[in-house]
Amino acid sequence: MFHVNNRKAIAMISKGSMKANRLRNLMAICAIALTAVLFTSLFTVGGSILTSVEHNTMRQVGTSAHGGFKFLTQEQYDKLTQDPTIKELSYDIYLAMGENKALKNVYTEIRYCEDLAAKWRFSYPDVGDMPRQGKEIATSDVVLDALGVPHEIGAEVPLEFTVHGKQYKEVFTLSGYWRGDPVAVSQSVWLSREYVDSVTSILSVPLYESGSVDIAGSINPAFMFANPWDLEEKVARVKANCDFSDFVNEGVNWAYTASEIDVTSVLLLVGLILLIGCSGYLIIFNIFYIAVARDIRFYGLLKTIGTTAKQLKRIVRRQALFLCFLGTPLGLLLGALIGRFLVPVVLSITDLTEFDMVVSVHPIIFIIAAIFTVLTVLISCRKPCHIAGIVSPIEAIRYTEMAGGKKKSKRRLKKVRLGTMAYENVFRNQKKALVVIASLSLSMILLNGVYTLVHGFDMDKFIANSIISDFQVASPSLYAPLGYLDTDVVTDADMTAFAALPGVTDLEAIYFKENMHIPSEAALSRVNEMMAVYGEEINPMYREEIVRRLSEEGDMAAHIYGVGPLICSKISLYGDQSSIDWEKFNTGNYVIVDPFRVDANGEVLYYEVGETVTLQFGNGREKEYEVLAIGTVPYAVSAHHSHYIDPNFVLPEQEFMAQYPEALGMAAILDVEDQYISSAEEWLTAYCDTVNDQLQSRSAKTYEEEFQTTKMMFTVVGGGLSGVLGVIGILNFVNAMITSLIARRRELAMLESIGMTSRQIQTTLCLEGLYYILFTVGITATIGAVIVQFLAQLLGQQIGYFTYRFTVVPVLYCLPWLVLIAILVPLVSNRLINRQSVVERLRQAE
Amino acid sequence: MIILQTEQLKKYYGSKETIVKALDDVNISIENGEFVSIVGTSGSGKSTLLHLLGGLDRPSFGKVLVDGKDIFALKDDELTIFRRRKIGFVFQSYNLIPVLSVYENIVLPIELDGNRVDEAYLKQIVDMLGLKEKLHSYPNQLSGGQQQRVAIARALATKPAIILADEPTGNLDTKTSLDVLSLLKVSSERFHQTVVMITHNEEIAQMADRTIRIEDGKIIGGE
Repeated sequence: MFHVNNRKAIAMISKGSMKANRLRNLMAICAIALTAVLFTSLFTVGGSILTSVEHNTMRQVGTSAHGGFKFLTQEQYDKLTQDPTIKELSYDIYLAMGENKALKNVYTEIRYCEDLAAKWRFSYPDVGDMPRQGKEIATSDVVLDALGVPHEIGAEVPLEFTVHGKQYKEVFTLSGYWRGDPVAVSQSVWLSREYVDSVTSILSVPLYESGSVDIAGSINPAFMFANPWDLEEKVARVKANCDFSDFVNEGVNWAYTASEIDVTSVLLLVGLILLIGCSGYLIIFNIFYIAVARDIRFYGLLKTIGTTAKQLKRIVRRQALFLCFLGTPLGLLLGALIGRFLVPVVLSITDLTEFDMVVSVHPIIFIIAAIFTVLTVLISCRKPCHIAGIVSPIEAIRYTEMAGGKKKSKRRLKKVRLGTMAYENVFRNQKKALVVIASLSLSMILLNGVYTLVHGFDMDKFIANSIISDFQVASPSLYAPLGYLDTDVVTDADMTAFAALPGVTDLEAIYFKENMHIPSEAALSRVNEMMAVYGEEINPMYREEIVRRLSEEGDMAAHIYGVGPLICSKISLYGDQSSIDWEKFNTGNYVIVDPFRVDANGEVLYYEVGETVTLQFGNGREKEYEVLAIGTVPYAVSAHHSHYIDPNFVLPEQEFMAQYPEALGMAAILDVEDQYISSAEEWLTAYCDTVNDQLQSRSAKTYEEEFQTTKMMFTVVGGGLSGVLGVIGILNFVNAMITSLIARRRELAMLESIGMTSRQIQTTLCLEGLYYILFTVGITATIGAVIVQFLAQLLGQQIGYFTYRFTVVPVLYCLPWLVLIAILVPLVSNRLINRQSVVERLRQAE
Repeated sequence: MIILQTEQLKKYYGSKETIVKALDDVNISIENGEFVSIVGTSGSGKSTLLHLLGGLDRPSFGKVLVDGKDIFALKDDELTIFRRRKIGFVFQSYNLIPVLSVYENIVLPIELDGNRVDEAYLKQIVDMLGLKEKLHSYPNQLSGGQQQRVAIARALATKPAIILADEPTGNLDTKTSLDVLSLLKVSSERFHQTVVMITHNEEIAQMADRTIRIEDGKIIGGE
């Protein structure tokens, strides 16, 4: 084989063909750019959510370092500095914890810390500097506020602590402070190395050897590797390299490892990628398909003069890639801007609201988006390439836009109507027409879906899930998805104050305790069965613990609620019972138990009605109760967390207090007469800020606002997506219409010459446009409606406050616009394309 | 009786410096029922003349009178309607509509006018042109000669007073050309139609009653 360098020739032909297809190029660039826009904004939003979650997890962990060790000696630390796999290394020296009375509720650790480690711990002064010498100090504003120290460099900071059994009461000078993170497990106080050295020496004998528990003076290194992959293994390898004993505590930052893949999110992402790819495919395919079909004679000619199929394919692909080269950067840029705008909207409804928002503009996002775009283009022009490749030179000359040419003969001799002619024209090239209709339908179906979704959001359901009264007062920790839950917060004094509020109609507290529970024999065998059937779903770490406790200790985690008559009446019951007899319940001999789970097969129970339950209340106290009913406390007033397998027992308030005399309320619910709502809201907010700052008040109104935000987000994101898909669909339609008009120039001139008035021609063209719309609406209303219903029901199971309602309202809203486009596009393009006189057009085409 | 007449017909292209006189002061008149051929080399202006006769194009100066009526006094759409009622066109490249069957192509001008198809008349045309078997076929299933016969049938369908044929045999071989032409001649005689045909083929031109010669936009014989 000779190696023939024909690259130049191919490039030349491609270039020539590009020049001859200006309209196609424009359309293709728009289509490619739009596809890139969608991919980029999708990945920007997705990436930003990921980084935000990661960032906020790090803040909870307290560091962004990949890993670290605890309580090292100087010798051990020196070994660590020799490790080649560690890229960056820093450390702090533990001194003590803050013991000032004012710090009772703020867990504070006092250390010397290197700059780098401080930065990793998100505890580097925003104002001022790290402590460098003597009695300088740097800490967070949370600590300063707790101590009542003004936020001023040079302010005096009193600190009490104990080192090696000796108590210190010192006054330091503030050298710097930063914005404290209320989510963090502990607050940091940094002192100078000079001061720390004056109080303690560095640990010389490892704690596990000396048996000591005094960790003052121990070194806590933190480090970064080259990348965050396989952290656990890497840390283990470092430990082995340094010959550290197994007793050395290691830490791996789970912000990097715990990004468990959530199936729903992955499905959503894959679904969106497919949707975008699909709509991109539909238009890019059509553009190239039409262009190749139109230039088929040109390709036939090339083949006649000896161009191979492979070369023809290359000619088409080259053009596609060149257009990609122009369209993609444009799309990436636009997409990044749109993504930037969308990120806050999307994040506003997730749990991340209170956290920092990180808009990710990582280059990898653009690379991935570009790859997906180019991939879409390459897949899209495979078929057109193939057509260009297989064309036979002779066929090419006779090629008209009649696919196949073998049409079924009509049996009857029918009159020719403009409508029939328009119909035939639309489906002259079936593939083209179907692709345009599919493309338009896609956006319509999506729009309909988004509308169905947003309108199916049921505010009453949403609010009922979140709050069952006008106001609910509880610890803010009740609403935080992670972290410590403070359940003893509402005091008697609070309740008295609330009761005195004007307009209060209902007021009740709910009490909550966690305790281990020893199940009865019957219950134990049921629990074992649950573990056998559903155990797979539990995180293995927890599962092992549950199984171990059940077999070794014979007990399990349980929740105990104490409720009054109001909340009791709101308990959702299972089985035959429709209401609880409060008088009977309140005797103190009965308990209500929740089912383990409720599914299509009915309820899976821990205890059955009538059985006896023995509840443990700690300190060896226990009491027998009879199961009165199977029921669940409303989610809004529940503890918002579970241990997966943990029965929830409900006792009447009085009985609960008898068992836990010290207990305070977990939450209080208040109903207020309508005219007092806003005054009550103001009063409660002020009360929670000033009188009992462990409390936070939430109102039904706040949830209503939250609901509107959620709805807004779905409207903006979904509406935007269907809008862009709509533009793609319309672009597809415009392209199909214009190319078809260009291809039929002579035909139209001829029709005019044999006596078709321009009005009749225009009517035919408009009818063609309307046929596209007719089919689009038809598909949306039939297949589309089925798809939407199917997805909506799927979603309904995911989103508790969604109710499916059939609707085609968006289609009706869009219809006039679609009709307008269907009429205007052919008319305007006809005017532009067929401007010349009949004779000129007749002649030109020959 | 004169059915078709031109008066000082002129068609100029371009502006002063580069003016092209496609037609320069053409005066012809054609009798009802006549079969006239117009002969000229390419670029002589014969196609322009035919287009003006059929009202497809507007002249720079002068008139075309059909039945004594100035057709360019009509508005565009009126002209189109006049054309489909009075004039039938036959083109060199047939110009059939690919999405319509043979039958539909033939009756298209009638239906565009919203008229009922005269089935008896149509049957005569179809039989005469030998298209009976092909009525359900589509244009791309026909040979060139067959397609041109369909085009003739379409031109005859509205019973026009005048048939204008632009190189009707240009794409056909000699034998087929003669066949097609004799069919055109027979049918026009039968239905008392006037035929004006453009050709550059002398042999074909000989079949006409009269031959008009045109050169450089001017009539040089046969008027």
